[in-house]
Amino acid sequence: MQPTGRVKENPGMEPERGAPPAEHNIAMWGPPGSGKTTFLAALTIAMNRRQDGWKVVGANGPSTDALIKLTASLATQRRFPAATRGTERYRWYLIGAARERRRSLLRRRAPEDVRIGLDLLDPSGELFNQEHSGYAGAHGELIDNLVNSRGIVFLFDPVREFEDGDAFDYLHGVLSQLAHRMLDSPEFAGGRLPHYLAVCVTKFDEIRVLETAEKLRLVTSDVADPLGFPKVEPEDAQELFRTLCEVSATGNAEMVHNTLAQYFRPERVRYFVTSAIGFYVDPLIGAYDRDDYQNLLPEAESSRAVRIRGTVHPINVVEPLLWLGQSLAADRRGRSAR
Amino acid sequence: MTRDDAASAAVQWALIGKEPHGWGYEVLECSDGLFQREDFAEMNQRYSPGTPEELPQVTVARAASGENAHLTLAIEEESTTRDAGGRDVVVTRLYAVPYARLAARAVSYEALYRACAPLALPVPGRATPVIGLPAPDVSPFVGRIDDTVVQTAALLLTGAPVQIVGAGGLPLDERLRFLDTVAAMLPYGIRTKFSASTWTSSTAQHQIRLSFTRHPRDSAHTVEWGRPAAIPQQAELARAYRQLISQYHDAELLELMAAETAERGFRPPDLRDLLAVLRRGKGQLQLPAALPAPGTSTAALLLECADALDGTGDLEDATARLAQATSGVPGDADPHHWEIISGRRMLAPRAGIPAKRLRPLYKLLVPLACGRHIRIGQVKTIEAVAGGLHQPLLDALYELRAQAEAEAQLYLGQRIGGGVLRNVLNGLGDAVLVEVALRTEDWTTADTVHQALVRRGSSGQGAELAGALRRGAFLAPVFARFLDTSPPDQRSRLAELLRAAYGKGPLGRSEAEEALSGRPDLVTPALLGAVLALYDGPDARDVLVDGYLTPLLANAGLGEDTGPRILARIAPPPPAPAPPEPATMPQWVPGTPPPPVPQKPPPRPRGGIVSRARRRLPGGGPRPDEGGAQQNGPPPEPRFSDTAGILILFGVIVIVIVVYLVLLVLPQFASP
Ligand SMILES: Nc1nc2c(ncn2[C@@H]2O[C@H](COP(=O)(O)OP(=O)(O)O)[C@@H](O)[C@H]2O)c(=O)[nH]1
Ligand SMILES: [Mg+2]
Repeated sequence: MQPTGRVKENPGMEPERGAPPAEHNIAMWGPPGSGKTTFLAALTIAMNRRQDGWKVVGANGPSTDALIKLTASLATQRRFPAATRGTERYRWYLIGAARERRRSLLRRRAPEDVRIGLDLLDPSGELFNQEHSGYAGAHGELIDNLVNSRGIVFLFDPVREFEDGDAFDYLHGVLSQLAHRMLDSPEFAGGRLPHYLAVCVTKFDEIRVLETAEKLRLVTSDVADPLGFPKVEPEDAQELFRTLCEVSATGNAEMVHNTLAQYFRPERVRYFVTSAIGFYVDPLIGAYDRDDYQNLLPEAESSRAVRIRGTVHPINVVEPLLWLGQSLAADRRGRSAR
Repeated sequence: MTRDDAASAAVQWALIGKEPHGWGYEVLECSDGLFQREDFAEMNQRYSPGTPEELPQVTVARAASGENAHLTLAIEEESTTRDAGGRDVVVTRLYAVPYARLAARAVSYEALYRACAPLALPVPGRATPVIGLPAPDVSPFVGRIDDTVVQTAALLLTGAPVQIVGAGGLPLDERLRFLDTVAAMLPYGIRTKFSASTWTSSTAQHQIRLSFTRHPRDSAHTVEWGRPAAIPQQAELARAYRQLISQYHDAELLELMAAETAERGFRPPDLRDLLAVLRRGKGQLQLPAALPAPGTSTAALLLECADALDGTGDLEDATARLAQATSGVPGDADPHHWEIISGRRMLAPRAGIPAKRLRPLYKLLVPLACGRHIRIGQVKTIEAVAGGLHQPLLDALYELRAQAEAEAQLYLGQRIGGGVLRNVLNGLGDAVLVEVALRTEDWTTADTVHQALVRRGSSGQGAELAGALRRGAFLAPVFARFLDTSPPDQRSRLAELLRAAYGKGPLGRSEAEEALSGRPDLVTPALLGAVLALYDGPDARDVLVDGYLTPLLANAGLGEDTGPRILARIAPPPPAPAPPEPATMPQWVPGTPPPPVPQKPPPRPRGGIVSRARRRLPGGGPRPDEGGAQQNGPPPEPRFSDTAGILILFGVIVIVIVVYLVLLVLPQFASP
C-alpha cells in the first residue's frame, strides 16, 4: 500500500513503486496493429518451445494474470489479443536455468544473473502519433516512459508499411522529443540515445514478407530445425529491414532506417526478423510446407476478423527480449562495479 | 444578462472509435464548441481505463478548469466495427457538461449518466444538445452509505488512488451507484479534480482515482468489496474525516457536501479546509438560524426592500430579512427576481439614503441578479440599469469580487482606480490576464492588461509570463482587433511584450520559434514582423518554417493522410552527419575510446510540442537548446592544451584497464 498523504497531481499518480529493483524497463514501440501485444502474448509459448530452461513468470498479481490471459488467447483460443487501450504495463521475469559459477585467476566472479526482470510497456500505438494523441497529457507520459526505459523493442510491420506507409510518422516525432528530453543526461553522449534497440520486422509468416525475403535470397533453412522453418540469418536481418523500408507506400520508411541509425548507437542496435504466430504446421506432416504455410484464417466468409489456424510457433520472440535483458543486466553490473 | 434555464445544460460530445479500415483509435466526430478534436483526444487518453475486459463501462472525469471547468462522462461500448486487422473496435461516447451547471444542482454522476446515455452520437451538424438537470436531491444516497462507502471516501483523502476489488459480479449500474455515493460523501467541488471508473484494467498505467478492478496494484489503496478494513494509522486526515462525519446524519452530511461547490482538489490544504467545513457545519447546525416567517419568499422580501427604498418601510429591517432568506451559498439567478430589481430601479442612486445603508442591500441584490458568478456582461447590464456605477454600488460590487470573473474584477478595478486596480492585477496570474485580453471587448481592459504584462516582464518574472504570452500569441489578435488601422503600433506593442517575455536584446532562435509556435493560428503579420525584427540570427526563413508554418499546418486538421505528407515536404533535412573532427584535435592513443567529441547542436526541435516538452525539463538549469546566444555569438575558444593532457592521461588509464580485463578473461577461455 502506498504511503499516505501523497499529494502530487496526475502525472505523479502512477509509477508503481515498491517493485523489486532489478527490473529493466523495456518499452514496445510501434504503430497500432504492428503486433506489439501479440508479440508479448507469444512470449510464454516461445519460451516453452525452446526447451532450454528459460521461462517467463509474472512479478505481481496483475501481471501474472495478464500473462495467463494473453497466452491462453493465442495458444488455446487461437485468437489475437484485443486492441490495446491506453498503456498496459506488464512486469515479468525471464528465469533461466542456473549456471555454474566460475572462478577466475584474479577475482571471484559475481554469480551469473539468471533472473531478468522486465518492466514492459505496451502503449496503444496511436500514442506515438501526435496527430492522434492529444498534445499534452498522455503523449507526455509516453515520452516520460521512454526516458525511463533503457531498452526498446521497435516493431516494424512491413505489411502495414506497404499499405499505409506511415511508420515514419510514428517514429520521428516521439524520437526527437525523446532526444530532446535526454539532452541533459550524461548518457546522451555523442548525440546518441543510451537505449538498446531491438528492431523487429514483424509478421515474417505473411506471404508478402516471406516472398520479399526470398527474392532477396536472404532465406535459408536450418537443418537442425525439426520444423524446417525458413529463416533469415541474424546478420541478414538488417538488410531485409532496409529493403522492406524501401518498398513502403509513401517512401518515407527509408527515413525510418536512417533515423534509427542517427539516434541510436550502432553497437546497441540489433535486428530481428520475427513472427509471433509462426508458420502453419500441418499436424499430419509435422513440418513447414512451402505450399501451405499461412497460419491465419478469416474468422468467417465475409468477415475481416482473423484467427490463428494451427499451433503457434513464435519466431525470434524470445531473442530480442533476452538480448535486451542481458545487455541491460550487463550494463548495470558494469555500472555498479565501477 | 444571462437568464438561461438553470435546469438544463448544453452537452459537448465526441465519438471515439476507428475508421472502417483504420488501425488506431481516434476522435471520429465531435461537437463544435469550446472543446475541439485535440481536447477530446486528450480527455480520452488521459482518463483511459485501459484495455477493457467487459463492456459497457463508464468513466467520469473532468476537463479544463475555472470558468471552463467541465465534468466528463465516457461510455465505452462494443461495436460491430472491425479494424484493419480484424480486431473488435470499442466505441467511446464522451460527453462534457459545464461544471457550474452541474454544481448548481449538485447533479449526481448517475443522473449525469441517465441524462447523457440516451444521446445518440454523432449529433447532426456537430450541435451541442441540451439535457435536463434534475432538482437537487440527496435522498437516493441516504441509506446507501455503508462502511465500504465510508472507508473508500476516507481513503481518497490520502491523495492516493483507491481500487475496489472483489466486486466482479456487480452489475454496471450498481458499480456506478457506488462510485456516485462515495463522491457524494465528499465536497461537490472535488469533482473538478476527480475521476472514477466502473472498471480499469489492473495492468493499465491509468490516471483514475477511484475504480473497480480485478487485481490490486501496489500503487493504490485497496478496498475489498463488502469487507471494509481499517484506515492506515498514518492517514491522519482520512481518520479525522471519518471521525467527524460520524457525528452527522446521512442527509445532513450529504446536503452539506452538495453545497460545497467551490473547486477543490486532494491537496492537504483542500483537505484541511474540508475538515474545517465539517467542524463548522456541526457548530452551525446546533444553533439553527432564525428563519424568515414562513411563506415569505425572496420575491416578497425584495418587494419590501423596494418599497423601503421608495420611502415606505424600514430599509435596514427589510435588508436584514432579505439577508436571512438568502443566506448561505448564492443560488442561481432567478429571472423573476431580476424583474423586480430592474423594474423597481432598486440599483439606481438614491440621494436621500446614506451609502452605508445602500451598500449592504446592493451586496444582496447583485448575487440575486447574477447568480454565483458575476460576469462582465452582467456588470455592464447592472451599470446600464442603475444609470452608472455610483459609489455605493461600485463598493458593493468590489466587495463581491471574489465571485466575479477576472475581467469583471479588472473592470471594477479600473473604475475605482489607483491602488485598487493594482490590487486586482496582483491577484490575477499571467495566463488569466492573457485570456482576459484575448476575450475582452474593451480596449481599456486590453490596454490595462498589456501594460501590466509589460511591467511584469521588466520586473523579471520571465518564464511563466513567456509561457502565458506564447499561448496567447502575445496578444497579437487583440492588437489586430483594436489597433487595426495602425500596424506599426501593433508591432511596437508586440515588441514590448516579446521583451517582457524574453528580456532585452535580440531573440534567440528557439525563442523566436517558440513565440510563433505557441498558437500559430493566432499569429498576425504584426507579430511575424515583431519577431523577425527582434531576431537577428542568420536563418530567419527556417524560423518561419519551423516555428510558424509547420505547427500551423500540423494543427490545421488537413486530414490524417494529407497532413503528415504536407509536413514531410516542408520538414527540415535530417541533421547532417557528425562534422569531421577539427584538424587541431590532438591524436588519441589507438586502442582507447575516442575522446569526447565536442557537443554538436542537437536535432532541431519543432513546434509547440517541443516547447511543452521543454517545460517539463527537470530543474531550472540552462536549457540546452535555447541556442540564441550560442548560435549567434562567437563559439567559445576551445582550450586544447589542457584537453590534450587530460585525454592522454585518460588513454593511459583505459589501456591499463583493458590489460587488466584481458588478464581477467583469458583464464576463462582456457578452461573448458
Ligand atoms: N501474420 C501475422 N499477423 C500478426 C502477427 N502478430 C499480429 N498480427 C496481426 O496484427 C494485428 C494487430 O496485432 P496487435 O498485437 O494487437 O498489435 P498492436 O496494436 O501493435 O498491439 C493482429 O490482430 C493480427 O491480425 C504475426 O505474427 N503474424
Ligand atoms: Mg496492442
